[in-house]
Amino acid sequence: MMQNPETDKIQYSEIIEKIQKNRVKPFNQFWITSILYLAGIFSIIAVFFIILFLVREAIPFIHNETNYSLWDFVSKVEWHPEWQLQTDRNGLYGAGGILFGSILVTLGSMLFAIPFGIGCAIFIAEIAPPKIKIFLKTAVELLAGIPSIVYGFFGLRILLPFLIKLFPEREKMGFAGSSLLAASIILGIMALPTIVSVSEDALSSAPREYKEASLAMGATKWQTTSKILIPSSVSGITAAVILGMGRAIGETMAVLLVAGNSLNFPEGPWAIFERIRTITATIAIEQKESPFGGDWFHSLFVLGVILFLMTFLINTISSVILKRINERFHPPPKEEEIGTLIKGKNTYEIGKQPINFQENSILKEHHFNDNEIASIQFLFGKFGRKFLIYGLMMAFSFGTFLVAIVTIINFNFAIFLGIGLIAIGALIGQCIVQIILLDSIKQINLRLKIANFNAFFKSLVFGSIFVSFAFLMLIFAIFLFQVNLTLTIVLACTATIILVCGLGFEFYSWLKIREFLLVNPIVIKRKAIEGSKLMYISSIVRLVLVFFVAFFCIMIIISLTGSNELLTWLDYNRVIVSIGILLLMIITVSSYLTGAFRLGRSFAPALTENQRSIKKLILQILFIGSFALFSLYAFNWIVVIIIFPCMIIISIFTKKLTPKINQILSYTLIYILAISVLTVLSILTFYIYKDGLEILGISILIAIGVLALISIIISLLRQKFRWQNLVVWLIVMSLLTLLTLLILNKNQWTLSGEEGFSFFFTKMQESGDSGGILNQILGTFWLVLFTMLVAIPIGVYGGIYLAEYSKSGPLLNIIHSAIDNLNGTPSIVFGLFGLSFFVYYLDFKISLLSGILTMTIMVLPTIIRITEEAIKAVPLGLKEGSYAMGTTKWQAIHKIALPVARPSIITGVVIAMGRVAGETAPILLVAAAFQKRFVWGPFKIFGGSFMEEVQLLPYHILDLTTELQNPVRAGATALVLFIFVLIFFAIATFMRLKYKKILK
Amino acid sequence: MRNIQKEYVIECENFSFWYGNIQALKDINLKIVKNKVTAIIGPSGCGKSTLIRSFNRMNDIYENAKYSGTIKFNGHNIFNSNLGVTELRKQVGMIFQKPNPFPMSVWENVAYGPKIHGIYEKKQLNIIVEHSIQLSALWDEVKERLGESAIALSGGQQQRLCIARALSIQPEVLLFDEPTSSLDPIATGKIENLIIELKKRFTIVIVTHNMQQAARISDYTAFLYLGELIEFGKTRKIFERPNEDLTERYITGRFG
Repeated sequence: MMQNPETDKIQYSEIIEKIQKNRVKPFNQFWITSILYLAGIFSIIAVFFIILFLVREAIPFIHNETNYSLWDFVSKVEWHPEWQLQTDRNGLYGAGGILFGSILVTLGSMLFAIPFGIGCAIFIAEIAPPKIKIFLKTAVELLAGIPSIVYGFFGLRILLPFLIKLFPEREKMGFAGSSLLAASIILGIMALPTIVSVSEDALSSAPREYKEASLAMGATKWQTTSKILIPSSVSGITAAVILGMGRAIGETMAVLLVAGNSLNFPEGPWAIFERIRTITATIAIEQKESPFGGDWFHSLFVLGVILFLMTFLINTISSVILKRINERFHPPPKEEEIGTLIKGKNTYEIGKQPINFQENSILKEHHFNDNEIASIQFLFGKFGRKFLIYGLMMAFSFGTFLVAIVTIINFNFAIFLGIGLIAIGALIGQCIVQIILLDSIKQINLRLKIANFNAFFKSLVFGSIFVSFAFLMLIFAIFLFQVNLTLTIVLACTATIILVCGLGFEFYSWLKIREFLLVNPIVIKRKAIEGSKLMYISSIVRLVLVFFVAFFCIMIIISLTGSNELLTWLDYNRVIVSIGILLLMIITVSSYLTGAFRLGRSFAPALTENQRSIKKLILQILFIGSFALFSLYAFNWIVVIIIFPCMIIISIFTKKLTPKINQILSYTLIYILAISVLTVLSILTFYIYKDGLEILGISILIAIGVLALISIIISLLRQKFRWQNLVVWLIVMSLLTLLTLLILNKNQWTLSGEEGFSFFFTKMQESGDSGGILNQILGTFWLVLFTMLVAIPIGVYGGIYLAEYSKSGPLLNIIHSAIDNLNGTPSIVFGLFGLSFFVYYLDFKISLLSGILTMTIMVLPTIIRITEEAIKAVPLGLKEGSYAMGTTKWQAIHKIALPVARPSIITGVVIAMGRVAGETAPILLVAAAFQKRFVWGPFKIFGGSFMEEVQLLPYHILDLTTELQNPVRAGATALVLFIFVLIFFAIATFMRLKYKKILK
Repeated sequence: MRNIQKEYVIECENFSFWYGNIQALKDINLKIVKNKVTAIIGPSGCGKSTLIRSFNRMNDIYENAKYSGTIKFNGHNIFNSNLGVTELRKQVGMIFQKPNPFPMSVWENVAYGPKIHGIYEKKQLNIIVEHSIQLSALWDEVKERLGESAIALSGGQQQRLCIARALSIQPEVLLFDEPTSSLDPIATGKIENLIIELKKRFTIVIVTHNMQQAARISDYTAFLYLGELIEFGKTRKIFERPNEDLTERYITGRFG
């Protein structure tokens, strides 16, 4: 308060002078920047080290005793490394079955996760009222936070018996629940949150204007969603699915417990009931048993490298797709394209310039507009030249592709019947398309009446007819295969000759047309545009057909050679052959169509429709193709031949219904999907509680119930009761569970159960059969604490560097992709890395220290990313306000940006803590022990040390379930772990809500 | 005849500025007179904000910014690293278009400046805070609410708070970048009056797209068009008898 104006004035000017004189010290700007830089490039260093140390332990396998080459490793199906330990036998390292198992499990999980995930995402984004929306979103994120061991446990205890009951006739055949089916369901549930959240993001971020425009025209809500919204978000949804696949392929614990882990190669059909083994489960199960330094030890690292490469590929693909989405909404500025149209006899220029023609041309002084030029460009393009090359490549790849089918599916005439019918249908389709195309070209001809054009036109027609005819003959040849071999051979040969002639005619005529147009440009407008569209469709249909052609050819050749060598070779190496073939097919098809894309890119805007529809077509072919193949294998061909046509019929049928009925049906379906997701969560929580009750007694639930009542009363008093408050929801759920269980099993539980509250506080006794889990709780506590102490500073400062100090450019892009890849890397890969680097190379041995360091590397990318996003989200105005006052960058970050970003960062940190507490795979390899003498902590005063092994909650669950067969205690431990994770999660949600308030 | 030497606080000499490949300012020659209000007017996108942000080197935060020519502050080249950028900003304060109070209390906002420049004693900070808020004609409205969040204030109050914050370290020059474009007419009036008061002690440069505002409060006016300085001179002359035809067409509203 201004008491004495004079003194105050003097004081004031003194203070101002002080301010003016004050010099901000450069204060070790260099040191700050350097430390930040190191933290920032941490992720690149981490990826580099991971690859280095994985490969370091994998390479010695090349010189293994059994002389297995890498090709053998990947293609053979015989995995008996333990035989190495027996004196008279050699270990077998054929991991083909294991690799195949991983792929099967991924596809199977997607079969479940995609419909439910996308349905749920649509529900959340479009249909759910706001309160339910937030509720469901949080519930789905809760699903994401549940540790995988808890899922595995749930699968083991609940899902497997359920499956046995569901398929009683299978039980007679030896089905015991653990199977590809069980693994697919569990992994599907685990991948669900990823798919739901990324898809929902994509759906919500589509511009509102699209929806509004559609609704303004009188479309129903469902029409808007299905025709406008979903197509515009297709890239985002694809990225979501791919990310989900990455999660599924890297999952260890859940798969380990429910997939059966049989070493036999699963045979179709109905392979869905077979037991399978995945890469991750193999590493987890066998690592402890393999003697250090032996071939077995190194072979597991080879598996780890393969797994890392697979997830690397998946992550890169999804990043590329996500980048495309960004580019679509923020397209980089286009530069004016000016260039010559064709190099050759006459060069032309785009634009309004007159084009030089030859003397006898009738179009000397014509001025071309953009559409016309584009059409000419298309016809001129390198289409003709490339056609032949692509045709040859296609023929080659098909044969191989179909050999793949042969090796995967048991040779079955009925299948051929089905395939043959499809082929005939496709042929007819192609003929129709061909006729339309030729008709449009004929129209052009009629308009201009230019000589010689007729000749090429006819030749084109002949070519097409020949090709179609040849296909028909081949199909007949196959049908006659079993009847009369000679006839088949004759037909096949004739057909092949006709086919070659036909393709030759087509090629020749396209060449000539092109030459002709070079000399006499024709005014081609919409007809040509439509014509080119049909050209594409025709080529695709033709692709499918040539597939079958080559297939038949090779089948014939195989049987003709009479030798079984080829067949046995194929049989033996079927996995690698199949994978190689599929790859070849993908490369060929995409290169063929990329060639078409290149043409399309220089088209006028009217033609980019083709580009997009072709991209969609490729994706559809790839996806549907792989699922069709999977279904053929996992189920039976009957299922495929019934379901796919049914789907087509349904989609045709729904077009006949009125939009309103359509909406009701679709909404019903989506409601069912969304409610199933919720049901799954409820069942999960319910059963986890159930086991816990036996050990902990009802008293724990009474305690939770009391807490619930208190919180509800407090919330009501402060009028802050919100449905989205997850804590409240959880507590309400617990109450309901308590009541239900009490009602159902009145006499089964005592108030205190076997151990009661002392479960938390007693040390473990008698190898886990009695006593409490205090050891494990302490172990997990110290692990989480120290991991956070190391990871938070590095992570936050690294994130600050990336957000504020780094310059955009190649380095930043590399860092971001390194981080994204690390985020998607399976946790067991981190475990292997920790084993190789910390445990063995640095000789920290299996210890708490190794565990802390490994977990740090695992969570750092998440923390860095979250910090970077949070600081970038701070409004620029705040930072500028600080700069304008004369602060350095560091001061502005520390005093202004960090406090605003803090709640968001805390959310991420807390979620990371949940992960550290719950992950089993890494600590299994580098830190955990089941039994150990009890210590209060890793410090000298407690008598413990960092270099000792440590007892941890997730590992306790695993061992109780697998080794000790004490599922009830395992369930109780799972409940404790679950509650820990829930607490972390509730804190994170609470923080996030608080954050939203600050910025408002 | 009395030789009234005009004192120039900021002098722009052949200053050009590029964002990447786009040239935002072309050869600006401009002198800001001490203790006067200089307005910079012109249609949207003509480089007004870029120019004023160059005066306190706020454009440094953009990666691909390039410049040529010099800007002198009291005779010193501001791009010379002898006069550090933090020092420059102590002498040349800025108020932004959108009020950007920090998410802290009112008191904290105004005390931020002195704190980072070395004043830590509560008593001294109190003096500064009160003085600055009084200078920006906000004291009566917030004297009971110094501890409350600054975000809770109205738009006009927030902007005056930002002015108080800028004043807390007693800069020589105050740069206003369209300070009233997001405010209602009453708040605009209050801030215009405040500027007229402040020019007695500070030099003020104000960017505005509102010509009437420039005519009301400024002593000198600079007219910028597409990055070039078309005309500069006393406000009265610019608005009544401009030299350039372009200026006249803009003033009379023939294009905007």
